[in-house]
Parts: sequence; structure tokens; C-alpha cells
Amino acid sequence: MTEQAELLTECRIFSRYLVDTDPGNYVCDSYVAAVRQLREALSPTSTFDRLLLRLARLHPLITRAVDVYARFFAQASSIRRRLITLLAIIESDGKMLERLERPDHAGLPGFIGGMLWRSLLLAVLLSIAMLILLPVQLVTAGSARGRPQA
Amino acid sequence: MKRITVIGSGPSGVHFARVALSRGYAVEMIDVGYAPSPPVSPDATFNEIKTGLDNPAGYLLGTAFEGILLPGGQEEFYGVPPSKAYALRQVPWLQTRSRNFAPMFSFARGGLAEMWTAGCYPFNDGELTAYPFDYAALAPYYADVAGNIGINGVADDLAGFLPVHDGLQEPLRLDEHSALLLNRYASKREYLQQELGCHVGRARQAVLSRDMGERKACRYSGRCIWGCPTDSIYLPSLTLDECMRSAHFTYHGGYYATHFLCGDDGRVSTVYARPLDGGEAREFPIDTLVLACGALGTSKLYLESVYRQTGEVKVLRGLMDNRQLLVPFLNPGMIGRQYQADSYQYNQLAMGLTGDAPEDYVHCLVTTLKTAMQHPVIERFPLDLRTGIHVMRNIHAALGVVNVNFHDTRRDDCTVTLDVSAGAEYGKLLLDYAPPAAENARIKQTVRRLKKILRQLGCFVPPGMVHTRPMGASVHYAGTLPMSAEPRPMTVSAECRSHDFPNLYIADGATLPFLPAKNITFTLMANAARVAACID
Repeated sequence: MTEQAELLTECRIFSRYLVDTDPGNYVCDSYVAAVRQLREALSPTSTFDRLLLRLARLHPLITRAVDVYARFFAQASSIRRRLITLLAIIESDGKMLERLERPDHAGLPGFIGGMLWRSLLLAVLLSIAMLILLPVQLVTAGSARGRPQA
Repeated sequence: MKRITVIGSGPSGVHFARVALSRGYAVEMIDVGYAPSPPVSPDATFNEIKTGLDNPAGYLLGTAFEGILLPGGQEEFYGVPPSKAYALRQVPWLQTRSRNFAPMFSFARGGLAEMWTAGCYPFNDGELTAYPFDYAALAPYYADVAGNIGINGVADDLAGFLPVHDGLQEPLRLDEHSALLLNRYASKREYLQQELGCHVGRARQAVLSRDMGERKACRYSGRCIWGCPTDSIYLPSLTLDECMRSAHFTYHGGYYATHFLCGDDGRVSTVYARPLDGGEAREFPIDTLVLACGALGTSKLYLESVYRQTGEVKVLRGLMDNRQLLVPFLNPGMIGRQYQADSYQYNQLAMGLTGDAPEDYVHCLVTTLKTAMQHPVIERFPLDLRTGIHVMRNIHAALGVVNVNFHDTRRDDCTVTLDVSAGAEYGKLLLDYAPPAAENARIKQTVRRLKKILRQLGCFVPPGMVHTRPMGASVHYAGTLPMSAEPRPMTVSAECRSHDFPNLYIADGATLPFLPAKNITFTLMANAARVAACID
């Protein structure tokens, strides 16, 4: 697979994870351009960092598990940085205004109720991700190249 | 016709030049003068930029995506928008090293205030105690500047701390969240004022609420952060444009002034400036010289000049800046509402916290979150990004931040000097800042108080989110060549004439002997106008 094709696949999976939809041409083109432009900042810096990125490219659900793990244990990892890059590009896309900015209008009780459910899901995902990824991170810790991981 | 040479086109330089021109002087200005790109789609609103441009990321994030704030990459909540990056472009001749201080320099046409948030807060008599003049002496110049640049505001509960001068336009339309906070304050005014020493009112901003000449009143396009496309927000470059229309004004753009030298009579005779396009320094003959390149730029030029003149490396003492805290808050009453993109984006409310003495006043700017980029905020949530997006959609309209400003005093251990040992062509600027002894206690006490105040306003501060900005971040630098009634070396007179060089004036923040908790730009402009009105 060429780098371009790999990045487009990555963009599609990540977009489905973040906003439940396939990205348009503008988002795809911008994402490919951004990863190339910010190559140094967005490239994996360790074996574990590379592993997280590879896993996250497999399926949006796995992306989510990897992301929630990375949020707490590898905050400056390549996967987290690429997801933020894509989020910033999606944020600049007028077609995504509804998805990113329209509130549920459920009021405070509705919001709190929804958050309880989401927090539970997040806790489950984080637990599973920790069981699998934490031992791997500890084993591969020695191979980090320099950028802080948390 | 008498000739005055001004160095620097920031707020002090342009208002000095404007008043000097009006008094019949010929003014020439030496300036680096980096300029911005022309505004993109000036009639479009923030959301129309997103939907109408072929490449909105180029505008919002920059052509090299430099506007994306990556995790682990920065301490601050927000960086400089790509459209304003020109204001921080540097020159090759300025090298610095600092301790406990993160300086910012601008060589933009208009100076650092090209990226200001337009706050205009006059000093009062209590804050001018250390100055060789009182508020009454400065008031006509506050009014003069207000009339020239357009400031909106109103006499409200903050009037006791922010003198009400002439020339104010009516305030801007409040966004929904700010209006809610102001209403809550009104319902709890007595308790907040008497028990917590808290006064809330409308911000004073250099933003037009009605047309002024070619400049149009604020259209609430939501694009303030990326640069107002219709010049409703005042920038010093607008006054520079005004000066350039005068036949007696000469602008030498593209020159970085490095130092001056004196003749046998001790008067400044020549300024040396390096052209940006290369080549040897150009010599500018001087009748009267006015330094207005910002407190640090002026200090550098002064130190370099004294060193070249005498071989002596001086130490300037008393460097000041406002310590700033950012206190994010959440207003549950706004959860689930749509945020207002079509509104003024910077702070619309201000908050004054009283202290034991007038100079202990703490000044707070209350900003509700609107069109600022969301990804830096979402990234900080202790959540995965998908959940973070959901949360942000629902609480966007409920978020805000209080920017807390503390005063600063001149202290001998806060210094600016030169390192000339490196063999470089010019000395390296050395900055050393020592925070006041009780600073941590003052910060903790203020945060506790602010949390109580925000609770009274129906808001709370998420745990772990209070951010102490590094010293230097507020960019209110002052105090290195202060006004002094006594003619001591490295000070200036009440009229800002140097006590060392009789034809040298200093018209910027370097001359302030005390730094109140307020944004200083308005006072810099007013003081520069005052100096220009006194010059003989």
C-alpha cells in the first residue's frame, strides 16, 4: 500500500471514529497534506507508538480503545497527535458544523444522564485497553526515541 | 520646521507621532514594519469562512498547519492564529537569554498591539501614586486617544476603578452567556461587593460600536481572533496609516535600529539602523530622538548605545510585567445551548477585585468561549476524543475563562542587561526576573476568592484547570527606564526626557514606575500623546 493510500485509509477510519462519517475530499486532502507537512511531529517515535498507530488503523472501535488508553498513558503519542490533527481539520470544514457544534438540547439532566452512560463505556474500554496495552508499553518502554509519551 | 525621529511604530510611537505632527513637527519613523497579508473575504462571517473558502484550513490553521495545537507541544491553552504570525516574526540581530521570563518581541507595523485583545483600562489616582503626575494630568490624553481610536464602554460598577473619561462610544451587544453572568451579578451585587470585594461591569474595548470615518462599527462576524477584517478593532497600524497621510511624516520601513551615538556635546547625533534587505547600517542624523520600541526593545537600544559610547555595560533594574492566571469555568445554566458565533469574541465583561490598598486591585477579564478553535480544549478533557467532541458540543456555550491580572512593582533583582562577551556584532539581551516573595500566597488566595465569586455567579471551576501563565506572557513590559522627579542616571523626567541625553525622549512602557494590574496599552498611548504635547 502506498503512503497516500495508507493515509487515506487512516483518515477514513479516524473520521468514522471521531464524527461517525466518512471524510469528504477536502478533509482527506488536508489530512494527507498535514501529515506530510508535520511529518516529524506526527511520526511514531517508539515501537509502542508505532503499535498504537497500527492498531488504531484497524477499525473505529479499536481506534477508540487505543485513543482512550493514549489519553491517559501516552498523551503525546503519534496516534493522539494524528487524531487531534484530523479533528482540527474537521473543525475547519463547514460541512461538519452540524456534527461538531449542534448541542443535543437535552438540558442539564439529559446531559448528565448521557455522560453517565458514556463514562461507563469509557471505563470499560479503558480497562480492556489497559489489560492489553499496559504490559506491552512497559516491555517496550526502553525503545522510546525521545519525545515524551505522557 | 523642527524634526523628531521616532523609533518603533507600536501604540506609543504612532500616538506620539500623531500628536507631534498635529503640533507642526516634522516626524520621521524608523521601523522594521513587518506587515500582515490582506484580509481574506472581509464580508464573510466566521461560519461563512468555513463554508465559503476552498481551503478554510489554510485560513484557520495556516498553510503549514501551524495553528494545530498538538498534545505535549505547548503549555498555553491557545497559540497565535496563523494570520497574526507576522506580528512575532523576528530579526536576525536580536539575541536574548532570560531567566524566569518568556519575552515576546514584535517587529510588526504597529508592534505587539497588532495582536492585542483591545482592552482599554485607564489608571486611576491610586495607581498613579508612584508617577510624577496624577489622573487629572493624564485624563485629557485618555480622552484624546479614545476619540481617535474609538473605545466603547459605560459608567457602571467598575467606574470606581476605571475612571470614566470623555470619548467613550456605547458598549457592544452582549453575547448570551455574558448577559447571563451580568444578570446574576446584578442579583447578587450587594453580597459580591461587600463580602467578596468583587465588582463586575462591561469591558472597555477599542472596538467601534458606531462607524468612525472609513472604519465600520463591529458587525459581529465572529472573526476577531483571526484579525478583524473590517478594522472595527483598533490597531496601531491604523494610526500609522493616518500619520502617513501627512506631508510632514516620513516612514523608513525595513530598518532595525541598533543603537545611537552622541556628539561631543552629549546630545544624540546619529541613529544606526540595519536594512532588512542586507548591507551596511544606515546612519540617520538626529535632532530629537524618541524611543518607542517597547520597554524591552528600548532597553536593548539604550544599553547597546551606552556600551558603544562608553564601553560600559549598564544594568537596568525594575523590569515589570503583569502576572496572569487563566481560570476556566463552566456555567451549567448554559449547557445544551448553541454557542453564538455571530458575536464579539474577546472579553465583554471585566471584574475588579479590591485589595487592602488601591494598588492591590486585581483586574480580571471574563471571556466566554465562542469561535476559538475547539481542538485545544477537547484535547485537554480527561476523555477519549469522541466523547470529548460530544461533551464539547453540549458545553461549548457554557465555557469561559477569567484572565486574572496582578500588579507588579519595580524591584532591583529584576534586571535587563547585555552580554557583550560572545564576540557577536551586537550584545545579547539578558533578562532576569525574580517574582515577588509573596506571589504564590497571593495567587492561591485570589484563586480561592475567584472560585467563591464564580459559584455566586452560578459557575464552577473544573479541578486542575487553573493555569499560571509564565512571566512575560502578558506582554505588559515596563519599568526599566522609569520616570523620576530626581535627575538620576537611567531615568527620565516627568515629560519622559532622558536624564542622561538631553535630546532623547522615551515614550513607551520603559518609563512606567509602577505597573497596575490593568492592560497598559491605552495608558501607553495616552502617555505618548502627553509627551508629544509637552515636547519643546
